Amino acid sequence: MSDENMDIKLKVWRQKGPTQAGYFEDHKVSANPHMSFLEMLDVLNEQLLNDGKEPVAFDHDCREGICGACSMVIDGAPHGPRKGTTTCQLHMREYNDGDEIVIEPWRAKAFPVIKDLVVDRRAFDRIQQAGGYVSVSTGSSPDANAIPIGKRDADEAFDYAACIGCGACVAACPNASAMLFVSAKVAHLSLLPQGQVERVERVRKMVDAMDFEGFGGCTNHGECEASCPKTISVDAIGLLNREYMRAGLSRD
Amino acid sequence: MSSGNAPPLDRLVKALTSTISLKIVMAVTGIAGAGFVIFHMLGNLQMFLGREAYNTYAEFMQNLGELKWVARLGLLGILFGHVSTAVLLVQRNTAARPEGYYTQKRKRTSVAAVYMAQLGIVLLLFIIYHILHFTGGMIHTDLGYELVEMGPNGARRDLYTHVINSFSNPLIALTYVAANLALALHLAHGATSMFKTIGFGVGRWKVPVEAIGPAFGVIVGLGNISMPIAVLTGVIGAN
Ligand code: HEM
Ligand code: FES
Repeated sequence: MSDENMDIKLKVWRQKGPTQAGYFEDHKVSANPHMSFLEMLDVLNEQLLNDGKEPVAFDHDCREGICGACSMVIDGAPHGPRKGTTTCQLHMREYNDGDEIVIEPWRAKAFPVIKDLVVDRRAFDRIQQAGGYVSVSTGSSPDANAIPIGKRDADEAFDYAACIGCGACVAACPNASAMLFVSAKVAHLSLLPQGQVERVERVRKMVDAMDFEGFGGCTNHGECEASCPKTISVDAIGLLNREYMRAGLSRD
Repeated sequence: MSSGNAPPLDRLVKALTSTISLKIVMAVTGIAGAGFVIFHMLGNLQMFLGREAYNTYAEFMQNLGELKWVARLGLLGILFGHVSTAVLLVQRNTAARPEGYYTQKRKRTSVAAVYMAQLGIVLLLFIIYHILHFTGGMIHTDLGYELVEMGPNGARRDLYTHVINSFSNPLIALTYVAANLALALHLAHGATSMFKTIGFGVGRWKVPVEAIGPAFGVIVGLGNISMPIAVLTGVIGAN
């Protein structure tokens, strides 16, 4: 890999506020291949500030792939071209001198744009609050062998628990469906013994909340799994559907 | 929003109109439709066995009496359930993304999956045309809907000749070929999707469920398209 700076053309979505119309703005930055994608945007913003212009608003926090804040669609792919990677983990070495990169916000009715690339993802918090919890005592941690959990259930629950709630599944889905997110939460908790108490109510409340927020439904395209930075399997949606039917058959 | 305190009936109504419930109705009616499609195809493939076999099968079906009407109304109900849930879900899915992307990469999905609704519209139009043509005899009447032959139990419809006359017209034959391509695509995605929707396509069932859609599409496509092609090329009915 060369260490030389590359000239990158950017086509970035600008939108002053939730009710204003947005538009694309063209920019040029000189980016080093060692930079992360967000550092490249930092360079752009420094440039804009020096020119007395408004910097591009984008969400970020941990910059190490665990918080899920760095939402943006890069050349049509949430979090960019790499599999199992968040935007903050993407590096400019993926690109070549002269490349043009299109950057847009997540687009979904339930994720309204706040400014530029920043969207309001509180719909996910509300779904989570509706039922994505266990209300057992969490006091001091019990002995590891106090609650036996089968190996397979433990492994699967752990895989689903990897969801960072970034919203890439919604952004990638042709129907802007949140089913991968909801199903990862439901599958994670309902596979574990601690999650049994609220099992029936959880899936109902979370699906209600999901519909209420205005997300679409699953038509089994599989785009969510392909775009998930934590590579969560769409099998979760199958488990969600099972849980939902199981709850539907319960007497109350 | 959700509440465990709402009256039981309200909660039931809410549960039955959720996105997942509507999708399950779509899947179950889709499974029933797919079952019918296989049955319908196997019945009609008997035209390869010749006039006698085909017309005997047609006579048997026509003489089912009450049962025939139960089946017809059942199929109509299934189609209604499928189309109405399709309309509701497509509306919700479209409303979920009011502003589209400048570019959106498709990493995983298929042409069939993307165009399910459009393929469905083609199927709906075709179903209407098909019933008017072969079942009702209200169009293409000059092609032999009224034809009668003597069977072992007396006079019966000569459906065989009606089919041969119809498919000898290239325009009609090609219409059937095109419609069945649409059906094959719709089922290539649908017959996998329906099992996933009812929560079946996980774990050890994942691979078979992913295979069944494309397999179903190919079988139904080849089977149904073979008939107009066979007539058009003189493989059947030339005698
Ligand atoms: C021969 C008649 C038909 C058969 C056998 C059939 C079968 C199926 C099946 C098996 C599915 C999958 C259900 C699921 O995903 O869970 C499906 C989905 C669908 N069908 Fe049909 N269908 C037929 C006609 C129609 C018609 C007339 C329409 C609409 C006008 C339609 C629209 C749709 C739509 C929009 C989907 C959802 C697509 C998706 O989930 O990806 N279908 N169909
Ligand atoms: S900034 Fe936290 S995941 Fe990217």
